[in-house]
Amino acid sequence: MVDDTPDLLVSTRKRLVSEGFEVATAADGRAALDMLEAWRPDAVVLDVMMPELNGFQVCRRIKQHPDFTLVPVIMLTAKTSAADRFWGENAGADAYLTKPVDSIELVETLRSLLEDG
Amino acid sequence: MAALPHTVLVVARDPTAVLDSLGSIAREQPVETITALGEALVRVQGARCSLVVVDGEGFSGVEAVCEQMARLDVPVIAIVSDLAEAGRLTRAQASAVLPRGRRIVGLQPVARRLSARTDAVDAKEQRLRDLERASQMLRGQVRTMLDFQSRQEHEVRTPLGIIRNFAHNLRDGLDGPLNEEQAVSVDAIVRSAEQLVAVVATQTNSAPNLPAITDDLIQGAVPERRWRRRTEEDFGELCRGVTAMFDDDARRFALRLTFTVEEGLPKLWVDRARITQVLTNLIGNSMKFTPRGGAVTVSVRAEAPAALGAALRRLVSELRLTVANTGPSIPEDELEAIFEKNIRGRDAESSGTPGSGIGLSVAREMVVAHGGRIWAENPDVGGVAFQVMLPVDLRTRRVGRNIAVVPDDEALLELVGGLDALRPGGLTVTEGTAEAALTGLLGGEVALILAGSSKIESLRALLRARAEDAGEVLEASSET
Repeated sequence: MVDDTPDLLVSTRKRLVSEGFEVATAADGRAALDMLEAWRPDAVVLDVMMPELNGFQVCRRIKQHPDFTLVPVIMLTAKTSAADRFWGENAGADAYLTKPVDSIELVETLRSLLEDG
Repeated sequence: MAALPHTVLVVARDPTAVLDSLGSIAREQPVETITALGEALVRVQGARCSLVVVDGEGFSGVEAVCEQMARLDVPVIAIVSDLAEAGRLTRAQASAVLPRGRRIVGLQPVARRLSARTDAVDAKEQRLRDLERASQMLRGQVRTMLDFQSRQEHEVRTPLGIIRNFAHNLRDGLDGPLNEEQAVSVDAIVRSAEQLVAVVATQTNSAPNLPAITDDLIQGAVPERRWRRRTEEDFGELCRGVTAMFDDDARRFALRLTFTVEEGLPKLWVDRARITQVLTNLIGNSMKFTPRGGAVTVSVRAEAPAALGAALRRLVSELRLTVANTGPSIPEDELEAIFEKNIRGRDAESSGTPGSGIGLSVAREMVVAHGGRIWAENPDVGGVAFQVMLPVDLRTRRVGRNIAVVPDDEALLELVGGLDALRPGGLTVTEGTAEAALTGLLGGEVALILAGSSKIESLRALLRARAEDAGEVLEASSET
């Protein structure tokens, strides 16, 4: 899970762990990409607004990586316009949730994406 | 008479004669005289003229000057030698023509009317400028407001999300068991957090598109925005110019904007400003509703059966302007409604329905004023296409000066002589073979072929053969 707001990482991680997920966190896009190889995640949750590399760019790089093309990516954003949604889907994201994200909704989305996979 | 507010410009080889004819006006008004036609435009653009009085004797190119004055909304009184010149200059949009050598009686009321018109136009233009300035300011303020709002949003949503997450975690025992009092407190926090989330969510989803609405209101309020008279235009080039104005926006919104035009299209008799408005509205609309990475295409072509050769192109009666985009389709039952004058409802933006209220209804008014049609459709390839059909005015069609008669008996032959004497529509009437008549028609010298009934088949056969020679497929229609 990648987000530049530490409190969100902490509170969401707790929920995910209680639901049986193993969670690694990163505070920015570069750290996340570095962790890919080591962690080999089954799914990635990405915030859109991050410094330097934004969520779309990270998403695209994950999808372009031969080992991780099929890994589901969920993007989180504060914007709700149709254009931003479209932009997200164009980056190859598998799901798009708007903030404030309900962790319970996030769990359900993760479950359904991983089941399909 | 009341003085005109600005100068009268007299253009003539012999200005004194004109000044004599002007009589008291010349004494009461600031009058400038020039003896070179070319200087007229310079003078008019430099200083404000209420009126131009031109005596064309000894000048060539008076028509062109009249047309340009018309574009600048400066009235022209032309002094002419004969009816033919009067006709030419009237068609060139001179406001009034008066015969030379006669004392110009009644010039004062004409001049007064023209000057009042100029004042009215001035006043309207000033109002328009004021409105546009107000609109700019309003857009600027709205943008600032929306930027501020969206930053606030982000700064509100993030902490809100954090509060709710922690509250949920506490409530569900993820931080350890709660005693009764703690459970009650946490429930209260959860309730408030969720209430706040609900408020933030609805606020954003219903924010109106204020800049767009402001633009539409301005346009709708000033429908006679700079009504210029119609002029003969290269429609393709006009559209190309308007499309080019959107190149920067296209880059900014990551859209592919393309323009295509068929070659050899006939000219159109249109009001440049209004057509510009129509195309601006259509392209602007498409750009608003096409997501990034999409495309907006503008094309102009002849509305005629496919594969008509150049020779028959002049028979084209309509031009089709298409503005298509790769945005969301419009629901079938709304394809007509979007051209009605209304502000789109709150739901429209989230449902992705293009068509922003007044903009399209203004476009329709202007197209209809040109005798054309405009509609929207969802093409098979997806997206939306706006179609505008404009008639090719007969005045700009190269219609021949001849009626060709192909007689198959003496009666028709006699007709030739009789008709020619009558000069119907100013056309000459000649007799000849079917071959010759057809050649004339395709070459543009012949406007109409009158043929004896036994000659019609051979004419059709010839037409078909000509088309096949040129490698074109032609459908002959039969009307005897």
